[in-house]
Amino acid sequence: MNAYVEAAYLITFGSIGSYTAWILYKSHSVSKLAQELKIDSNSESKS
Amino acid sequence: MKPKKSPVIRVIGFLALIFIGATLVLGLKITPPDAIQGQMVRIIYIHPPLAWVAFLAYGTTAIASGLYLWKRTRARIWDQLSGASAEVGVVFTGLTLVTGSIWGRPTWGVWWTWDPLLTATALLFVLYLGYLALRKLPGDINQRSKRSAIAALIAFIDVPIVQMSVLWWHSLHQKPTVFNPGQPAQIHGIMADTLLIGFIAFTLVWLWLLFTRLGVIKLEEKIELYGLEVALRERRGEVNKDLVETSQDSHSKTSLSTSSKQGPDSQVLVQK
Amino acid sequence: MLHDALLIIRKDLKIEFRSKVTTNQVAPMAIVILILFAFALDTHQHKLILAAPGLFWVAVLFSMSLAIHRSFSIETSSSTRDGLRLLGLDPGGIFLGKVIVLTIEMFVLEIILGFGIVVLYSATLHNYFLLISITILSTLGLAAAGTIFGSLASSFKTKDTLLPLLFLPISAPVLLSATKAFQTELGTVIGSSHPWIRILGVFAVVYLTVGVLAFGPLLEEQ
Repeated sequence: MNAYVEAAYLITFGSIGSYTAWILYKSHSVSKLAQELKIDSNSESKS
Repeated sequence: MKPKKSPVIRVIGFLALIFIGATLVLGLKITPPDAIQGQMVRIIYIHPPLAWVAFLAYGTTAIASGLYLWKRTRARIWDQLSGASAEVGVVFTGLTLVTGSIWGRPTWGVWWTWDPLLTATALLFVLYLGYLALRKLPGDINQRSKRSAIAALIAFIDVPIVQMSVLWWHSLHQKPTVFNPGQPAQIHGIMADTLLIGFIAFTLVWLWLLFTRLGVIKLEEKIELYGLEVALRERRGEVNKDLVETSQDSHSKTSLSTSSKQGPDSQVLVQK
Repeated sequence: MLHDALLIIRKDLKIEFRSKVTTNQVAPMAIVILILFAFALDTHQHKLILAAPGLFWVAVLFSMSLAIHRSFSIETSSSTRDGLRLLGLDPGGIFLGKVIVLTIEMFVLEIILGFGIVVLYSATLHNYFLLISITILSTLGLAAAGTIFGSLASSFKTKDTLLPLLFLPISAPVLLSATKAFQTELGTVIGSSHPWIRILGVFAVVYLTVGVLAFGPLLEEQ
């Protein structure tokens, strides 16, 4: 396999993968915080 | 109270994984190397879908910002959506630039060329970085949202002007070379299918990222509001206590002052 | 709206006339930029002649972001912004006034820079009417976009760094078109400057319109 192609795929899927992981981590920590504060995470927020 | 993960988002996520897997297998293993481009054609299976998602994301940001600015449809959700979409858009624009650059190096011999599409994409990347910076600033949430929405719309209006100017600029130098699809690679058969699957895969990934990110932003805002409320309540409690104290103080002071005022008066009276 | 614009113009020009920040600080800095460019390009005379139009406009852009910053700091420092709003001035008028003041200030600076590129880079100017029209048109567009972003970024603590990040990328088409138009008019590139003038016109009209529309919502908040 061509090194350029490998690099392109690695960077693309690596970045999207880490971005996804970061979002999941944030989602987890934020919902944990909400749980501690007893905020209803499902209700719509007021504008 | 776990946040409700909509089943639709779950399904989108599941499908995205399947399609990404298919793109990887088809793009890296099954499809043959191209007659002209050789192995490099494999980058074509991911680069245009990345760019497509970037433009989808910016389009969403622009529409959501417009809906936020329009008073009749103003709601927090539009601001949150435009923020989430712009962030995903910046990630995908960055990847579009990187993969394009990697494709350009062996194909053109340079990492970068001032091709109109490339130039416009790079400018878009910087413009939306500025937009995200504006969103991250502390301050009143509604004020920030309104300003961000205006900035997003301005950035969006700038896109066609940038396109027009770089196209004319470019036309003075050389002919367009990137993604004049027929020219660099004859895409047909299994290669076309792979590209199509790539488009579907990245669009699904975008949808999943967008809605998951949106959920996080919504929850963050709720926590922020909650924190604000608590702080306000505490403040109000303190202020009330203070008020009570000061009013008591002032009462005693006024009584004192009245008595002292009475003093001289009575003295005057006495003198009279 | 025009009457309100005139009021703002009179006020801002008076402040500028007294403080002379643009002439005493921004203009010298623009000349410094020109000198630094010459160092960067190794003072080869022919390179400088070729690069003169682009360097002129880059110097204008950087000075402009300083001038915009200045234009809004005089509003926030003594909370004139609230005063203006209380007077019931038309937001579109305030916007136009600000844009015109900025254009006038920058035009003075551009004349100085014009002398700069003639003296330092030995650029030859002719066809003055067209050069001046291109300059005014570009400056008007830049001032419009800059004023919108100036008010967007104002009242944030990090406005000094945020403003260039927002303003410089948006002004890329102007930099490109004005440079190209100058190149053809200064004779370093053969071609017609008309398509570029058209882009500059479109840019100016679009951002003047957006500004007049958006300035109301921007001022009414807070």
